[in-house]
Amino acid sequence: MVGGVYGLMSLGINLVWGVMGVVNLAHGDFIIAAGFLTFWLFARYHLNPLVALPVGVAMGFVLGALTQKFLLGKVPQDRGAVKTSLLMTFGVSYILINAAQLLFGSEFQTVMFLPGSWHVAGLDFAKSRTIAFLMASAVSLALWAFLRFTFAGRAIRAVSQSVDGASVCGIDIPRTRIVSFGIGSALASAAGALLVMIFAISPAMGNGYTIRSFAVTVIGGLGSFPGALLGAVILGMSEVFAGYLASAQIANGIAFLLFLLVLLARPQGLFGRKPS
Amino acid sequence: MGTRWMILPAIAVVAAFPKAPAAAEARPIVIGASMSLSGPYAAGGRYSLEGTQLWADEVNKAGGLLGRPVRLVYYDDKSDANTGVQLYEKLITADKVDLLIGPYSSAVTSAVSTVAEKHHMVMLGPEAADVKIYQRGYKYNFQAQTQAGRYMQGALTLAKAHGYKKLAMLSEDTAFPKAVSSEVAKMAAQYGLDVVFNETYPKGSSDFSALLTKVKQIGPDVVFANSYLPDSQGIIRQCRELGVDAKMFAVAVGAAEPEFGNLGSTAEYIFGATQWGASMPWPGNAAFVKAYRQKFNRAPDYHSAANYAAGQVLEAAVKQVGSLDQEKLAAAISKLELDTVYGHFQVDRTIQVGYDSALLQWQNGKQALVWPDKMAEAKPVLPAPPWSKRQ
Repeated sequence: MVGGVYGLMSLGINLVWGVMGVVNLAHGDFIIAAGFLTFWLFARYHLNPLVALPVGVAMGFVLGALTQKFLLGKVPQDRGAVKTSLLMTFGVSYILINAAQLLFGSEFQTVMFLPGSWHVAGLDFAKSRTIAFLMASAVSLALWAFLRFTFAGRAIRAVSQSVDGASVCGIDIPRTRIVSFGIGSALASAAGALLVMIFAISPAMGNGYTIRSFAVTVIGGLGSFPGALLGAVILGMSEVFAGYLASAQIANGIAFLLFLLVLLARPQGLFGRKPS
Repeated sequence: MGTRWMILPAIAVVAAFPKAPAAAEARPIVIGASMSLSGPYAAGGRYSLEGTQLWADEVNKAGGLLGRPVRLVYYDDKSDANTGVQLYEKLITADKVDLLIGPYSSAVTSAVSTVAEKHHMVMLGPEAADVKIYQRGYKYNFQAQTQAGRYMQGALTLAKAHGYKKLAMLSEDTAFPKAVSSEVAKMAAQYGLDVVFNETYPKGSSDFSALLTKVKQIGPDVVFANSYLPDSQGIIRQCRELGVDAKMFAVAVGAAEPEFGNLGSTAEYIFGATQWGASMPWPGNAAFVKAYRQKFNRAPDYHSAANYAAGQVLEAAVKQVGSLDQEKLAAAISKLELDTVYGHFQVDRTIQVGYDSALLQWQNGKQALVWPDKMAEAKPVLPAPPWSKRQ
């Protein structure tokens, strides 16, 4: 179930990485920021987290688009560009962490939404997890349709395949990048809003989610939609099974173990394209 | 959580206290501490800090210590022992503080106690329940919190009284929770309990479903979570989601924090160890609760009281010695007996033997002291109904 939310997280980082070649180190912090927004709306105005979700997504899109337009977009596209943008997202990450600490305090918070579980065929389905999974699936499906059937979506895919080619076809590259980064952050925010329904979050823990999203992308394959989802399910399941069969300590490291195994055996990821 | 964040210097937060008018000319006595103001221990850390702040305030209002005002310097250790070590090193060598107060949690205290000891600085540990810290023959570190082994005594006593047999324990894998679980494991037989499950999880965990699935298959009578606030909430909430039923649930730290009530109906029937209560008849306790509410606009919890009491102990020792001589202060504290707002302070060498534990239960959305009997505000309600029968 948690796999669905991991999937949403990694679709975001996957998109940004694929289209722009930038590993967004602030990705996890966008997740946490939206989680806290959801928490705040719930605690303060008793707003249903599912209603808060679009608000968080909109905030994520705007923050992401602004980051690309005014920060990453200004980086000269030369050989140092990757390094500079990496450091820049690191800075954005710090700003988000400290902003969240100032606004919401540094303590762990969670939204008590739908406690309890449904009993179906002798199995327990935690209500909050099931709803988070269904919502994550719906958002993923919407993203897939967007990338597949709309002009903007096709432009994003074109840029991820070849910047020069897309440019020759008359696609506005800077604009497409702004939209991609916005969508990437919006996806992170959707994941964050769902995550806070399941787990307690604190401002400083975005880092762990950046790493998980990154691991899922590597496992599934860069630029691959089914890869990101499958990678997420694999990670979610192996964390739970490792915790059950071995110990909780091993479950914590399983993402890195899978990460290494995939890099050794199939560097392009399960569904990735081979570099040409 | 990655180590990347820890490398960067902690953001300094320094509290400026209004100077007491009478002692405006005198050089202040600077008291240094690191506190967990972010990370998993932030909830307890903030209460602890406020307790110390209130004490410092009151000392200044009463004309200061040795005729000098006191000033508190503190930094955020991010619930991380390594950061704590750097911060105490900085407090002692760069800030040149006159007196130290220990940080939040046994894990951080255990690490920073080495720094205090090395510099021959007296450090009371108001949040260090793990006795192992004080069994290393140190001379300048004193335990100012109830011993970890006493935390679950109330819960064990009730479990025995109801004839419960099977005990399952989940513990965070740091100093204090592990100390609690090893002490409980040693004592369980005396209380007629059989430890059928005893596993740890890493600090910062949020998903306990794998461990709890194992617990569910065993079907224990009693579940102990030796945990702090966020993990206590996570474990209890996921017990409900996974339908892990037991007759009794008790947690070591989390349930004593008012924030545990955010769980709503899920918090009902949950027991929690506490070391102090607003209604306890210790001298000055009622006035402490009132002043705390006035200053911070919320009720104190036991961490606040423990830190306030540590201030009282330090104050008494300094007054007795008449100077800030660390050797003399250490000698004075080792012999000191003082009735604080937290109970009777007394150490055997450096180990706390005076403070004792109590037990509370969440009843109708509120915490009620249910043990020991002479201080109980309500009767314990047992057994907890199955999760499926609850609202």
